[in-house]
Amino acid sequence: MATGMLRKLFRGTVIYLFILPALVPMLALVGLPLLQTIFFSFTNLKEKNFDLWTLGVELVSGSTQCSEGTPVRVVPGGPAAKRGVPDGVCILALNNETPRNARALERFIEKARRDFINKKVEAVSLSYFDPRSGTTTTVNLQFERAPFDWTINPNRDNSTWGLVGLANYKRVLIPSRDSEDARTFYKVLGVTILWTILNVTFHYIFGFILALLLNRNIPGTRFYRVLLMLPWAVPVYVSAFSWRWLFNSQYGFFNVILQKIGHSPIPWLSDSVWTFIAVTITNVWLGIPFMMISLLAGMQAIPKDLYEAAEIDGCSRLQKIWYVTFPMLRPVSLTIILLGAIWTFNMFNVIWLVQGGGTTVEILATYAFRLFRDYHDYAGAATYGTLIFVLLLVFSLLYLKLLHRDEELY
Amino acid sequence: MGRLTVISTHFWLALASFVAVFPIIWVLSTSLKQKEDVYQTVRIEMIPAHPNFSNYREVLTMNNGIFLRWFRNSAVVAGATAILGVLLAASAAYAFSRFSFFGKKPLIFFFLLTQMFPGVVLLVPLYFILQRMGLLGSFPGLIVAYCTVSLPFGVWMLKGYFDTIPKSLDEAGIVDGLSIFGVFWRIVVPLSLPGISVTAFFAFLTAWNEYMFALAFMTGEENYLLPVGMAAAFGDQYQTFWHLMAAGSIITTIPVLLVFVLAQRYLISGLTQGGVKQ
Repeated sequence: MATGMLRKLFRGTVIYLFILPALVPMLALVGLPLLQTIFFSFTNLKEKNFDLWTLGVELVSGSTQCSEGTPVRVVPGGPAAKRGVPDGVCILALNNETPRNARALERFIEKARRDFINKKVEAVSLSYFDPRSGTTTTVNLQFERAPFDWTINPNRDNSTWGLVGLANYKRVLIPSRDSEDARTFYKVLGVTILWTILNVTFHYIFGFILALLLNRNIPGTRFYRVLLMLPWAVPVYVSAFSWRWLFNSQYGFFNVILQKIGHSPIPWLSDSVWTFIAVTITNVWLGIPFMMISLLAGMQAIPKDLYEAAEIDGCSRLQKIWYVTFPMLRPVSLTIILLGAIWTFNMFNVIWLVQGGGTTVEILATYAFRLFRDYHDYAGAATYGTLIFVLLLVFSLLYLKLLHRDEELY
Repeated sequence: MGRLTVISTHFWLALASFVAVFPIIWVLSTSLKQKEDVYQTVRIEMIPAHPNFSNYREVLTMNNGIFLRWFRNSAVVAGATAILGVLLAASAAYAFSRFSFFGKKPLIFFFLLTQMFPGVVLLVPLYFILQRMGLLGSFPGLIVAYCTVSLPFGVWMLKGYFDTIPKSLDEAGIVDGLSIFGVFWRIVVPLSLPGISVTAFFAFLTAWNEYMFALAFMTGEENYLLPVGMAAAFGDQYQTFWHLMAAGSIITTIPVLLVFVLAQRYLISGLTQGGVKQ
């Protein structure tokens, strides 16, 4: 009895051993960033508030060079270094206040920084002792702004960013007279929805037709199948490059042909409508093989006698497709359409790479990246990311609920 | 099937195949052209008038052959991602396929959820996490990051594949004295080699194709992966050296294409049996 329970317990634990190796990296490198991003969307983390005002001195721990005061490292090129403070000195006082320990000095600096930013003080006086020369000096310093770069960790406590509640969501979602943010969001959202619907529709229609043709099993089918799957096997940035080259306004294949037949060249990647058409063509081309092969697999699993029965009932070829193939493919179709919609909605690569990093056409994912990279507005990017997440989550749940597919997915 | 049907099927399949391969053929053609023939607007040359390998030579020899170094970096990262990714995916998929346990549904849902968050937005927190783990700018860090990208699809695929293997085989194994690890390793894995090879191929592709993570996390020209290196060397938003980019693209595509064409039968059977449940 007891051994039976132990066995059961042991088995239960062993099952988790199979999952943990996959789950731990997933939680650490996807789950954690995801939660952190959602958290950032409630803060004002952006360059402006990303407080990098610094005196150019950093506390060093474990140094014993100072008999009194707090040892610091002087950052080369920082305000302290510029005023001639040598490296390895001991700070005695800040604004004539003597800190008891390093922690206290850190607080003093933090307070001075806030006072400086809020323009309560114009400079900070710093008294330091140089153990090599044995002298004590006092200099007046001003905070300076360190350049923003990715290596600055927002978790460091030298910044004044903090929670702002729903301000970001209000800014992005609710239109106001003095801000373009909401208008931009709804415009980009519209483009993204149009982009997703067009792509998934074309993927499905072309994928379905090609799968039907391949399923006829004429001689040479295998050869066609390899060729038709190529867009899938080629690295995405290579495909994106190929299309960008075809669409090139000057030397591109399409425009050279157009000019040869006496048509004026098309501004493929500069005009917004043409750019949208160009990226859509590229992504349709890219996404067909996945749908085609999934649908083909589904078609091959349909029992032949269903078609025979339909034939006996006098169905034409088109009727057979409509009354047999289509309904039998419903489970496969629903899964791949959901996946396709999620992937297309977030299809950063094609939009980004075909335009060569250009911004003529933007979907939510590329705009979020631009908010971060060009505007250094990380809170804004995180808000966009969270909104995309919520939109897709609601869409998926509704989709699964409406189509009663949530059990089958598992 | 009537003769007319066969002919029209051939016609449409051939047309579609042409559209599918044309962009790649065009890049191949560009890569073999002389510079003057690339940058002209008068003739359309599907087959280069003066075919030569000068673009390839330039790509391979530039900057003391740094391109080959990028190639090696990409191969190492993608290879490791494929191996590690498939091991992790297979073991998780086995548990999902065979056992019911506390938290199974939320866990599967978690894997689906991760697909809904745009990857580029996760870039920044991921950056800090890798930094704190001391893995930033190192290949192991990149490999683990790519594994997490390839895992959801891999788990989903392999779970479907394992579902098709009869449970009676597991039970027979247990009766013969195998542990559940034994069943997994000696019975389930060998029987699902097609599915496993597809998953490995996709994990490989994920790493071989990826651009943003490699751009954000790796510094130093000698540590670039192929896509980042090519983008840095041959062109950006403002100017692109199309003839070199074309040659570089073809070199990058060849290994994947070779694997794909050689293994496509297994790839497709693996995909059709596992990826799509009927």
